[in-house]
Amino acid sequence: MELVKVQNIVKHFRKQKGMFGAFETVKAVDDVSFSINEGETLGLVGESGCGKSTLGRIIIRLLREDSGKIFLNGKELTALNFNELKPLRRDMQIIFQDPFASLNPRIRIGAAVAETLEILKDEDAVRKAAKMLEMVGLPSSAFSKYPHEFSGGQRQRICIARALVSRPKFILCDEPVSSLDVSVQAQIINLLKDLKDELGLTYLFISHDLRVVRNISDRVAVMKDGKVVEIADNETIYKYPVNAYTKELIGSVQETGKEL
Amino acid sequence: MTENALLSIRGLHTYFFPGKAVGRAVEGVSFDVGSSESIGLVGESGCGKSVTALSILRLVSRPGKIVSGEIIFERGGKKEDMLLLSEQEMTKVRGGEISMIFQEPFTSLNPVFRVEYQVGESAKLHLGIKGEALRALVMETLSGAGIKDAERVADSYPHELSGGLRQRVMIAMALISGPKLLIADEPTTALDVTVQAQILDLLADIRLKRKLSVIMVSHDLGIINRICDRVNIMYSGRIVESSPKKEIFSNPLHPYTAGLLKSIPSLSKIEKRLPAIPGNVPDPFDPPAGCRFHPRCQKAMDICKKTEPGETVVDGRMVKCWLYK
Ligand SMILES: Nc1ncnc2c1ncn2[C@@H]1O[C@H](COP(=O)(O)OP(=O)(O)OP(=O)(O)O)[C@@H](O)[C@H]1O
Ligand code: SF4
Ligand SMILES: [Mg+2]
Repeated sequence: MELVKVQNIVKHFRKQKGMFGAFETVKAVDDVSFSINEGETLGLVGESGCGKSTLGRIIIRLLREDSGKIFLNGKELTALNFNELKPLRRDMQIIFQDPFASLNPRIRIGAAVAETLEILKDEDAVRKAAKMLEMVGLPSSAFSKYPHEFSGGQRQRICIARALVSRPKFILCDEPVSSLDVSVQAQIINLLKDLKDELGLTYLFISHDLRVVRNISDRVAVMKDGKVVEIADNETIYKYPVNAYTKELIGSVQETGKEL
Repeated sequence: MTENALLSIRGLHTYFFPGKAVGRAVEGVSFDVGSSESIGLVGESGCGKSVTALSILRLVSRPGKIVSGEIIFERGGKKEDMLLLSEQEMTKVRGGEISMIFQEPFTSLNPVFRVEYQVGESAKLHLGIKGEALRALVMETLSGAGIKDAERVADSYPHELSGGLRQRVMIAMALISGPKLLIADEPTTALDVTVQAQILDLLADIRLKRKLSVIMVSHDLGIINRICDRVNIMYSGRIVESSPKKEIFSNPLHPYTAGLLKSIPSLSKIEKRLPAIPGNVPDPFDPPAGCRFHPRCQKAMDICKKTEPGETVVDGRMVKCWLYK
């Protein structure tokens, strides 16, 4: 079943070239359409500035599109105003790249995780937050600690707990492991996979790292200059890439497995 | 010490002293770099890769300090300990005999000077050339760094160039005085993968053409695979394994090396669960006792918790682990 539908999304920015240069229009997202099925992980891969994050933010309504439509569970999100969107926020969450920047240093972990629920006026917020912290593999003592007491990997676990505590259906993962060490990165990828199975989640997984995308995704979309240039299931796109840019991306990956 | 080593580092200790605490960033690092050899220095964040690289050029700044060790470098047929050279001599070494390139080319280029001036500066200083000869050498070096329209790039300011071009300019700047050793600290980490692949190709090509010795610092074993002959794996301020590239990927000795290799997702093989290393990278201000890796090691024995393993040489490879004693 189709959970998310992206229809002809367009977003342009005006940007100045250099310090004194003329203004130019950047087509950050240039007529993009696709859908994500329930329980699926769609990987979105591309290089810096290709529009991945802009598109992600439009989908979860953190940013307004110039034109096009977004549907969640058949409901058109792009037709709703701020108040109408509020109850739906529970269903969509985001996990960012930088677990350092996205946690307030003065708020205890337990409170940070419970916050989403309290905004939603959930009376059981504290108990649910504690349970969620346990699910992401943190000790119960984490509840009353501050962010600085945790390593990068642990902070990303906290951010994951915070995103999942409202039991959303759809998670936008925007480079969630890019700032982590390889050994810790593998832990977080495993955790995201486990949680997806346990909670029946649907992911849009944005990354510049094809190796990571290949490992976690059911289908993969390749983005370049604001356009999705190729989309196919994981096996097909890796074995039989059609688009020239997809081929170049695959060819650029430095593998450790094979002798060079 | 290898007889024909260009650079020999012995027992390097570099510590940080912010206030009362002591951060043992580099603790007893020893390795050689042969002439025309390319060495990889690999490890996770905070393991001491950059501090080791900076120590070689004595660029560690306060509260950091080189506490002990030797850094023997061959200069004009003589072996000299760079830790004993005068600061004046060191300025001849830096950029002249040993060059360094960094991760973010933007921060190491001066925004208010044109590329030609910046690339030429080092040649002026170290080779003492100027005028037309200097301009010709700048153009030649820029072209050698794979820059097609060298004239235009030479006349540009750094901000007018793409990330990939800026890194090529940095490489030209590092090479113009004809150094014998190039130290590259994560030179492609800030770049997109397709550009990264091009820069790696360039470095692989240049090092052969110029018979350059290279120390490549990276957290990415894939990059090391592309460019290095020998790989040194660092963990918590130490080199825990040093092996030729061929062997390290097919038959890692140290449990950490093995774990690191397995935790990298691969394009060709999808694993349902990635074999991750549990736990976190140790804090250099509060490292575990014994083998620094023991809290995360599945093969840890009693002795590992108490006593740190020394070096063991196995078939020309070096490993620090009780399994090989
Ligand atoms: N200016 C400083 N003040 C205090 N400690 C420092 C400083 N610079 C480095 N260190 C310490 O030295 C250790 C090693 O740092 P280094 O920069 O060499 O790590 P690295 O291996 O290059 O990591 P990365 O992959 O993150 O670049 C760090 O964990 C840090 O504690
Ligand atoms: S010395 Fe012991 S703990 Fe350290 S890597 Fe070897 S087996 Fe593991
Ligand atoms: Mg570093």
